[in-house]
Amino acid sequence: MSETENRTLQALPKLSASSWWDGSFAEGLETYLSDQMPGRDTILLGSSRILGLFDATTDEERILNTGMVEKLDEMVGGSEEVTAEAERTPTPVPETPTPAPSDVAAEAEDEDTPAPSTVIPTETPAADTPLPADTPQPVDPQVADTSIVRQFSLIRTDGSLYTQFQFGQNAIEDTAKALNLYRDAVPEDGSVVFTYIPYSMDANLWLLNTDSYIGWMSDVEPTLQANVKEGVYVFSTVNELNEHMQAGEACFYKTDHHWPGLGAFYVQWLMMHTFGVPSIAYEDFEYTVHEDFAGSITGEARSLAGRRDLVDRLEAPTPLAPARAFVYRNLNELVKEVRFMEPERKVYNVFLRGYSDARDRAAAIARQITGEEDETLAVNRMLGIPEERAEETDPLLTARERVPRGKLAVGFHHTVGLKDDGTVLAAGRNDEGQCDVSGWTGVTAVACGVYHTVGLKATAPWSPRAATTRVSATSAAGPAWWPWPARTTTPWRFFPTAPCLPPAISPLRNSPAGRTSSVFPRADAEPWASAPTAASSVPTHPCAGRIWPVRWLRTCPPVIAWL
Amino acid sequence: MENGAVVHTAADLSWENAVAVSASSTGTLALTADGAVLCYWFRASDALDFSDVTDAVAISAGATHTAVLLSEGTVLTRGLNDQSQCDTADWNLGATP
Repeated sequence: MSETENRTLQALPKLSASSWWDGSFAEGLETYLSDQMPGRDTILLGSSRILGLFDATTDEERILNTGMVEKLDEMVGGSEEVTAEAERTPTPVPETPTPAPSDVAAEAEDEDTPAPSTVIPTETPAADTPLPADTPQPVDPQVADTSIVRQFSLIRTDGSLYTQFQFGQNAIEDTAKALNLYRDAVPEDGSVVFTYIPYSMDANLWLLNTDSYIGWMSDVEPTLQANVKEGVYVFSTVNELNEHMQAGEACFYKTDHHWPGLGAFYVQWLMMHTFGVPSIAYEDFEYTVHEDFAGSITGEARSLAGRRDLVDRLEAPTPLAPARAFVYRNLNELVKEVRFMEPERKVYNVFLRGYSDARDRAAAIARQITGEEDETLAVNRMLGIPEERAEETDPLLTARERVPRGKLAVGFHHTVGLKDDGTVLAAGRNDEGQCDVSGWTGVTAVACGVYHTVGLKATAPWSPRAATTRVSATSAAGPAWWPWPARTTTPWRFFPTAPCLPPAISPLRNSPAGRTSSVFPRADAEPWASAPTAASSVPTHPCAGRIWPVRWLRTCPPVIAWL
Repeated sequence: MENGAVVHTAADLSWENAVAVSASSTGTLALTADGAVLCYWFRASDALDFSDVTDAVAISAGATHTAVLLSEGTVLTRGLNDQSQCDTADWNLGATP
């Protein structure tokens, strides 16, 4: 209970399928952070940055109030009276620092009290482009963040940097704190994925002035990654999009603060592949195209009439839970709108929720991926919520799920057990070294062959969501005569399994066909390698050092991999 | 019954309650939801008696010996011990909640 506020403080919200879909988890978590944490204002600031990424509010005024319209007017001449010449030749963009998207979103969190920002705009504009006197300076007055450590910059043609935002130690630490709290709030085997999304104004500053700039760069993300807990993953959208932007791909709108599908696609592609879950191709998404999309900002500003050279092509892809259209305003018919977000929604999960039947669509996909018929169970599995399953399902199913996987294994004449600390015990015949496991650490599962033992190491806890699981290496002990693939030096990278499989090691017993082979689960349909009919057939493991794709499958067939 | 002999049976034990199975070249173990272990062996005379086990959490069947992980983390091993493969009396892998 808060005595000062005379209300019951928010408890940590429970992550569930329903709370995830309707956004109440994220909202409740923010309130929880606000209520329960020491130094909550500071943390909340970081939290707002995070939540802001998913706050695709439909209230355009919030965006308009940031001064973006004025900036856009400057871009294109500031008037509805546009000359024919200007139509053909885009006006160079003044090199004006712009608020980060997180700052915009932070303002959107509370219209009356704009959130302070610790993202400090640069004070070093290009020498030939003086800053307008009234350029907004979103400097946080509460945080004297003078220790600038990292920055996001455009790269000039001569290689020098034009810094757009500088991130001080305070900004890094605040964001890291909030991310770590999120990590604590999700299940143990869950993960938090975070990226800064460059503002479209920054993108346009580059792309509309390609004679001045050749790219952009950021060293913010690695620094942030170094400050967060295990299970928090920071991706660099800036660096990921650099090549695509240089190739002239439409990763940002010229006229709108929302992302076009392509930019979002590339980033989600990076994220999913990093976790071993490939995305389908962009072309394979269902999408809608409008050729005369003027953007919500320009539509409101009514200042781009006739500026067809700045009109965007709107492509709205349909990812997992599709989001099909945007706030769409035709240049001449502002009343023409196709709502992308549900108006009553405030918090928006970009790739998981979209229009009104998003839940049904996502649930269908979850059922398909997990093979679980029950919608709640399927979604829970996708979200890694075993607790809810226990509450709602047959006790027998619960008992099955609780059976420890990979803890105990028996070979022909030896027995192997995995301790909670990741070390391994073995007893029995050791003629071939199958019990030489004394040096094994960090093992997450074990299995036995007739004459060998296999341990699996995982860099992240197993999760029903294959996207958050990465099994990175194996260790093996066994007969010297067996052609172990670089058994002591080569890390094998295994990505597990369709998400409905139990922990990756589960089918890791010997296959019925091979006395010295092992079975690894894999969601793909193709075997990893040919059977070891002769020693020379597997001089090195074909998976060594490689990242293997995993497909979402309707079913979850464990497939054989041969050592 | 020569083949497929169900050696260990009880009224309250059945496959319907199985939560895990483990098979070897000579037999099959089943773990039930209440922590009991069923043992189905090719030759009934070779089957191992786990009727005293009530808190098993994991099982692993071998050709000549089997292992059972108990809830407190100890490992019960039965069968051929010619290579000391059943010498797991001092093991503790950690309790299973």
